[in-house]
Amino acid sequence: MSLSASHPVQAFDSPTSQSSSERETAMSSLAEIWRFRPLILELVRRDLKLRYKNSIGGIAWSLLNPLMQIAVITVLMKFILPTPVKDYSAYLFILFLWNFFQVSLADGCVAIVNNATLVRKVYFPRAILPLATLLGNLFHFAIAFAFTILYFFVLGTYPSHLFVNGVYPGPLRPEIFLVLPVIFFMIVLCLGFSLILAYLNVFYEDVRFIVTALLQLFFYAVPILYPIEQVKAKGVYDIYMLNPVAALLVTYQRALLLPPTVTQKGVQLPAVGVPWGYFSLACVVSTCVLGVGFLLFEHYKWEMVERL
Amino acid sequence: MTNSIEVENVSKTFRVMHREASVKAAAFKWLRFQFARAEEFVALHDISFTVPRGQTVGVIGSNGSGKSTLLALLARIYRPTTGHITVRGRVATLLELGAGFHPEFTGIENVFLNGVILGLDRAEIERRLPAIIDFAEIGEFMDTKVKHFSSGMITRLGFSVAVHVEPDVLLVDEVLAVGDVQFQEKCYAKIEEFKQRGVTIFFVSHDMRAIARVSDRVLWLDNHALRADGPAAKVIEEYDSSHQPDH
Repeated sequence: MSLSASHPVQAFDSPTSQSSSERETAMSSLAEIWRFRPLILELVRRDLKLRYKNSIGGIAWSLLNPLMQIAVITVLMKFILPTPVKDYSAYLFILFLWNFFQVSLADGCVAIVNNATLVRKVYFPRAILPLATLLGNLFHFAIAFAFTILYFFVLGTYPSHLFVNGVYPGPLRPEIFLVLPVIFFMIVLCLGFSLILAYLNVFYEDVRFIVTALLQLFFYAVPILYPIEQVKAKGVYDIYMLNPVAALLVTYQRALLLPPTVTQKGVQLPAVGVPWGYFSLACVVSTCVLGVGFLLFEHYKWEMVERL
Repeated sequence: MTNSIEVENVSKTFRVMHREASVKAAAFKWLRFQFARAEEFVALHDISFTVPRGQTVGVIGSNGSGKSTLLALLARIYRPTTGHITVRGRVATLLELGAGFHPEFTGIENVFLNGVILGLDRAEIERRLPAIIDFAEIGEFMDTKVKHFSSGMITRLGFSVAVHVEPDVLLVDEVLAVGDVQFQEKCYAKIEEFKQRGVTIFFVSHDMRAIARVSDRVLWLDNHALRADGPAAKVIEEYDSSHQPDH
């Protein structure tokens, strides 16, 4: 009976409505988000354009900050910290993935409140806002990732780290392909947290400040300022790697590069390979965070608009 | 005859929270076993009506009578607390002109952004772009950032995008009151054209002349309930007589 096939009947019930056949389910919400993909693309386009609209440097600016951090940490490791790692600056490039996590969460907090005028005036699936914010940040990460690979070749890290035992030419290291699932599950984790934080920040406006502060603290719980080999030498590896972000970062590092040579007090520490078990656990945890985040967001999405 | 809009026994209650806007305040309250109290505010009480396809319905009522809530419910911004709403076809909402506009974007960029928000894809907007610019009459400013637009220009562009979505149902909130007389006439002409094409229009306004001019039927909301529902002239007369000081 609808007027046009492409625009089906919109029926919306109160939560107490009798007609359960038309009730919203998580699946129908997902299908609706998929139907709204032109809007997702347009919002991502908007975010990217806005960020670079008034700057000449453009994309270079998004690389500058992490590159400065890498430079500072490299100098620190070389001259101040007591644990020498050979060519540590290359291993520091996992900082880009950490940055993706950090910025995604910080931006996720304000995904709904920053678009309050839109949300109050037009209908669209609300989950699109955190999703579009995340995709914008993913775009930046993609550039940083391309830059990383390029830099490895300039630095001379590649091609030797690309091949089995560094023998070139030879078969490619199979671990290199882990990069894709690592990034995928990092996206899953970030999206899950973004949905939860975007929802919480509508109700409590200082959530974003708490998150920013916690993220700064959390930076010391991932192996960037120190190599994972040192964590293993301290004997806390098994607890440390329960953190899905740490597990994903270590896997990412081992996928991109061969394990580093870490010397402590003249003794070489045993190398840490790909942490298969903890990586699998991180994948499961990430998926759970997304599941919980989506269901939570769906459950409160109507109430959320009334509180804006 | 198909109904475009069906509203059955719809009530909307808002929970006005004496809420804590910060985690700190909330945590302190929890520590003292004081939980957030909610006060209920009934914005709409047991409203029912149906709008057949192609009808133009005006909604009148004093401030705070629930007009805007009703429109927001039809636009799917809120979900009814009880009852059931059905809207058939493509809906374009004009609850606030230029709601989706971004000040840092040019006129053209905002047409794309707003068009997509209203449910078009880029190719459809591309095709309608000349008509949209033509209708808005701000051709020479289309490459200027919207932050440099006057409010009248934003109104024109917003209205122009919304009417070119080619909706089946158009929800309009108090937006024709802005803009100069000449542009208002153009908007009325567009609304007439929509009526010819069988578009259902749902229209909220304080401006009785505007309501009388375009509506086939008028709903009168009074104190969060439906007080009258009937032919435009009759309901407006009733409304006017109740608002005259009776000496």
